[in-house]
Order: sequence, then C-alpha cells, then structure tokens
Amino acid sequence: MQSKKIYSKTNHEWFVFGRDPDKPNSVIDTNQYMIKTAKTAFLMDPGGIELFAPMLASVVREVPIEHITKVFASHQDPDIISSLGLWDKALTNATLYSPQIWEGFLRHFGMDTMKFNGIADAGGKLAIEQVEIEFIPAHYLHSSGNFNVYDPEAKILMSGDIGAAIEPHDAPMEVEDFDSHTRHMEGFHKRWMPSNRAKNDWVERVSQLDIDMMCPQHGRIFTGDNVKRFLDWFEKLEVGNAVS
Amino acid sequence: MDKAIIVAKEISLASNNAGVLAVRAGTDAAGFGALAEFLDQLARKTIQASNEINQQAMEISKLTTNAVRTETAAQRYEDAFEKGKDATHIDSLRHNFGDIQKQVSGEYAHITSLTNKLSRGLEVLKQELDVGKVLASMSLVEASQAGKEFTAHLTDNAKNIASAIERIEVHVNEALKLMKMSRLRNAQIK
Repeated sequence: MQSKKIYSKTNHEWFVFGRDPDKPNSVIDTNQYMIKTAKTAFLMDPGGIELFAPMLASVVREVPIEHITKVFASHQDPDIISSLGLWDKALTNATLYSPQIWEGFLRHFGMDTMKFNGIADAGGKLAIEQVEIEFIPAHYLHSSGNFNVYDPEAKILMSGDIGAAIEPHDAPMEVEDFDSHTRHMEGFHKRWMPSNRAKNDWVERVSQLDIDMMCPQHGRIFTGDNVKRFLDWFEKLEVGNAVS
Repeated sequence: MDKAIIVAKEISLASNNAGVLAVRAGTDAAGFGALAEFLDQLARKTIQASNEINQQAMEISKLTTNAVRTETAAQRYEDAFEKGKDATHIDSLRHNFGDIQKQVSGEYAHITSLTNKLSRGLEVLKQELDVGKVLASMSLVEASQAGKEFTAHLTDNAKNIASAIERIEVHVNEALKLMKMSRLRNAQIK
C-alpha cells in the first residue's frame, strides 16, 4: 500500500494511504487518511476488512500503534469501516467518532473495546492535541448520516465520497487535468448521490471554507484551483438519476 | 436436540395413554402401569436435559463466533507483521499481538470446557435412554400378561415407546459426534 505525506508542519502532518497492489480487483479502491500530531494519530475512514493488514503495516511506518487514539468513520459503509472489529482488537485506547445515527449499525462490525462518540447532525469540533478539526455535515452525500473532516490550519477537507472517482487502481494520487477527470466522477456522483438539495446545501457550506486540498475516499486528491472547479462542476450536476 | 424433544413428548403422551389403559385393565396390568409412569418420568427428564443441552449449544455457538473473529484478527495481525517488518514502529504491535494470541487460546479453551460439559450431559442422557429401552422391553412382557381386551393396545403402545427411544438415541449420537468433531478442531487450534 502506498503511503504519502500530503501536509507537514511541526507536530502536524497529514498522510494518505491507498493504491494497495495486493488488493483484490473486485474490491473498490479506497483512500485512507491520517492526521499525526506529537503523540496522537487520528485515523479517518480506515477501510474494509480486506485492507486491515496493509493499513496496519502502513500506519506503523508513521506512528506507534498506541498513538492512534481517535478514529473517524464518515458513515457506515463497509468500504469505510468494515475493518472496525479488527481495529477494535488492535487499539486499546481509542474512540470512534461517527454520525450518531449509525452507532447501532456500526456495532454490527464488532466494537467491544473502543468507545463511541456520536457526532450530532449539526457537526462539531475535535481537538487533536493543538490541532482543532471540524466535522462538516455532508448528509445524504451519499449516506443519510455523513460528515467531512475539515482542518482549517492545513486547509484540507477530507470529503469522503464527494469527489470520488472510479478509475484504474494505478491512477495517480492527484487530479492533473480536471476536465478529463470528470468522466471518472460523473457516473458515481449521479448514481450514488441521491439529493440535489443536499448537494447544493453542501456546496454552499463548503464554498465558505478556505481549502487548499480536497481529499476524497476514492480516486484522486484535488489541489489548488481544482477544488473550486470541482465545486462548480458538482453544483451544476443533476444527481439521483436512478429515479426518473 | 429440538427433534429429540418432539419425540420425547410423544413418549410422554404414549406413557400417559398406557397408564390409563393399565388402570382400566386392572390388576393384570398393574406392572405395566408402574412401567408407564417410569417411562413418563424418563420422557420429562429427556425434555429437560435436551432444553439444557440446546441452551449450552447456543452459548457455545456465540462464543465460537467471537473466537473466530479474534482468530481472524490474529491472522490479519500476522499479515501486517509480514508486510510491515521493516516499519519504524512495528515493535509497537508486539504487545497487542501477544494479547490477541492469548485471547484466542483462552477463548478456545473455554469453548472446549463447555463442549466437554455438554458431551457429559449427552452421555448421561444416553444412559437414561438405555434404562428406557429396558423398561420398554419389560412393558412388552407386561402387555402380554394383561387381559385379552388390552394386550394388543398395550403391546402397540410399548412398541411405539421403544421405537421413540431409538429415534431419540439417533439424535443424541449425532450430537455426540458433533461434539467430538468440535473438540478435535479446538485441539488443532490450541
């Protein structure tokens, strides 16, 4: 599994993990993210069961396991968090932050050791040592209880399924040419995102944030002007196309 | 053991019917009446024991599901060790991994202990059934000594009870076989 540092400042780093070459082709490729501070690591959407071993191996290249005390699941899908039962055995002092409405569902993956901290629909803030992050509501995009993570200092938005692209497993980590990239995103967003109203509400909210990097859970990272290009493109896109 | 419970209920009903017939047959079937009461008691014991065995089996099933999950975590940990053998903080996993391995052994040891207890319960039930078979044979003899009017009914009744006991025995033997397989599998893991 590839691991890349995408932001670095003293005692404040962001990592992306993904493009695992050993992953079965039938399993959708995912990006996992981690914020590292001096003694704490915050693991975001740690992935499915199939990814647990390569993820654990990649994570301990960056931090000792006991530093991972905070885990985030943007929503309840298996590609996001079906590894929960395994992380629950690995992390002895960790809290899972996830939409409150999914607690009873997430526990089906197995959670005996980890504590659960439900995020209310309106979102909230979380301190990771000196770094304060925000949980940005992104409900119905696509899950009915769903959050992004925004780091105002690093100016990074972990956008979950928003901005996701379905493309070959060896695709680059960063969007190079936005216009040609849209063909990898269009079908996913039209079919997986159910609500134009929710989409427009999110675009309006996120447009007010200062973002240098938008990091989706599938596909490539948007940087610089491509973030604004994505917001404009997404605003115009009609979603929920399974219902005519 | 749900099937054994259904058959044991048949025995209980047949024993009660035999008891009523024996009373009507009078002194000639007095021995049959006493045997029918023993067989009814045996049926009730079988139902109670089967219910307890079912509960224990459910508990073992739940524990096994959890143990398989822990075992899976241990296997994935081993994969992570292999993939991250040169990782800076790989040693931070060792303590946890040791705990998980201990947990796997502990969980399977607990399951083995419960499996043994369940097997002993099945063996006791099997012995009770052996007694039942003897009682059913004696009932046949007693039936032949009852008055002409009742012999045929009582003989049918005794034969039905003997057949029911044999059917329960099949289920008990099947359960014992499963317990043996479970013990062998747990021994391999340990």
